Amino acid sequence: VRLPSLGPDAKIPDRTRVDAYPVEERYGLVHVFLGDLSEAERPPIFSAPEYDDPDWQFIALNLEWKIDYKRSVENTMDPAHNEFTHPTHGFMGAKADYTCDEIVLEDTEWGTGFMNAMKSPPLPQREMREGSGREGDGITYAGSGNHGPNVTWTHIHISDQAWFHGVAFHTPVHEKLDRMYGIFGRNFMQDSKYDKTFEDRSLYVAEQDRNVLEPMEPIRSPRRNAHEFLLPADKAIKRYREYCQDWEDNGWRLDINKIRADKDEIAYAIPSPVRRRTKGWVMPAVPLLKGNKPAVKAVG
Amino acid sequence: MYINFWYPIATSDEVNNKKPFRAQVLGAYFVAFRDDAGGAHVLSDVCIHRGGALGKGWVRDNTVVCPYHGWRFGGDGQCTHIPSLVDEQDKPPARAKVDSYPVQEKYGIVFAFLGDLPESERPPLLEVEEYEQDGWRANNLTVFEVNAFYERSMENGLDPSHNEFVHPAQGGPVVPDLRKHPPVVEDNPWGSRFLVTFANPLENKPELMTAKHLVSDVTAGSGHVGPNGMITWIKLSADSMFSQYFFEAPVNESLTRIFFVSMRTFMLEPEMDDRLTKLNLLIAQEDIDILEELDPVRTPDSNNEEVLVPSDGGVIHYRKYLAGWRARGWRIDLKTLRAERGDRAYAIPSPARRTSRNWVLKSVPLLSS
Repeated sequence: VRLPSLGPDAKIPDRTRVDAYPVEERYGLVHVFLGDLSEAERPPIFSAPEYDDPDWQFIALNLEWKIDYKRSVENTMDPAHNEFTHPTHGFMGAKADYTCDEIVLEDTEWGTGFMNAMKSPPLPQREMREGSGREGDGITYAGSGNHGPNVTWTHIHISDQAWFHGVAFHTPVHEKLDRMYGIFGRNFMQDSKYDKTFEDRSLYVAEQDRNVLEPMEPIRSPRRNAHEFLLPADKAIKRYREYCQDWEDNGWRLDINKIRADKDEIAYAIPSPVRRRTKGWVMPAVPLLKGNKPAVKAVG
Repeated sequence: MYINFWYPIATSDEVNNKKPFRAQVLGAYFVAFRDDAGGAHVLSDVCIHRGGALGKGWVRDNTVVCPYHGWRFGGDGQCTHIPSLVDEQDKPPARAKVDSYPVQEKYGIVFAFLGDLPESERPPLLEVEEYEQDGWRANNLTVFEVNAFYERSMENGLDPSHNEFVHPAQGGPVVPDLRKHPPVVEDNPWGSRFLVTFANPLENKPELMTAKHLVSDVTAGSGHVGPNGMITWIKLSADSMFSQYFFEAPVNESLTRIFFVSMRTFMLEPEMDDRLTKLNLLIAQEDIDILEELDPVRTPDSNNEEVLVPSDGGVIHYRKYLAGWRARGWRIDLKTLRAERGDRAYAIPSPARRTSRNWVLKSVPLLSS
């Protein structure tokens, strides 16, 4: 709108513009649609109706980990890690009858998910034991799923009446850094005086994950499942990878190798929806891996 | 960096049967732990399930347990237990295994043979001949890290002409002697060595010496066994000698962990140990200050990209050995490794790969022979 060195009355050339992205504020977060799909084609923001339900109390937690975001998404969708990574949730394999129940996946248009039963030790805080109505060991019904490549949901039902529901919105800062914006709700102990208790517990559990995830090799999940050893308990992760493959087939996956090679030479922009209608952009659109589906026709 | 040699992984104190020890060597991660009988084991650190670091887990019942999903691996690398298998009778499949490497524990160091050669073809571990011999005292094992490529560090040890400049407090005028008598290098099957004579470097350090040890000419030399084992000899007189052994672990392309074993025939009082260690580390720091600034970080591939002179004889021989090992197909392809870093975890191939197939992690890329 103003270009000082041209003087106050100069006409500003059309080409003088940067990409602007669709924005929506929800759950206390500013969400940005990074891409060029028209409004009708865009995946929706994950829906968490509990957030506005007066019976639910939510806290917000943001974390930054030195990992690739997909490792964290896969971690959330992995029911078998709890027993070992989280002594708070499992028994570290001490019970001889430990196994992981068969996973029954339920797919949506933008992701998959499941619920299953896990044997859990008593809750550590007295007030949580009282608040949830579960005193000792018990069966926790828990599950998780994904929505798009970067959003996960987790449901933990520690008793019939005491439920946690959390959503994690991951922002891949770059290849080795993940910023997670989390909202964690509960339908018991709703008084905000308990917020700190829940925050402490969530951070404590998250730290257990971080300790396992940050040293993982390789940093990014292998591109082929044959380079790992996947089991039935990894079913949701496998399915998540299929969704990612599908989005890659759409031609939506960034060409990281090309970006890395051009680093310091070329600044790329994530294409915004306006690029579908106008030409003459200064910054080139970020390189994408070639999809193998017929291109989606631009609308409008 | 080369496969098929012995590399120091940890000090003996760092390895136990409770908490595994995780080390990076040759750019790959390894886990070391002990079984209940005290035997040390070194395995590839990457859990083949979904990439967890075994070295961040724990040791139970002679196995190392992955902290992510509790998979257990025995000293032979075979997975013995997968907790999440639905049927309790299910045995872990044969493909559920990680590489396990031959181990030798000596001089307070756990060494692993990082390569796939069968036992009869393996190069030897550099032997500390004086260890536990009459008249010799071993100083406490010292471990230190240098932000430099290990071959730069090795070549520094094989270079008699840097002493005068890098170690002014220790070195007399050496270069004139070297001009007259360049090192004569002797070749052995797995390395080379040389001796030179020059003015006593400790002549101005009388507090370290008794009068009978002071001689004006000293004999010194150095040698290497394999790409990463180095020895230096300093003979101040017939009864005052140092033999210093450097077992170098190339952590990655730009970091080296050095396990230092120093033997001596004089100043045998135990209270001299710490004083000598301090002195050795001061001298090492003078080297480190130079090595960390060398450009490029790694030695050039061709000697034409440097100007080498007769006193570099030891370095030139070392490089010939490296070229020979490269010709055998043992040199790691760093460029491919770098390009795929973060996307793919590789394993250094263990001897078992020669006899069994079906490994989850691919073998590290090697330059073709």
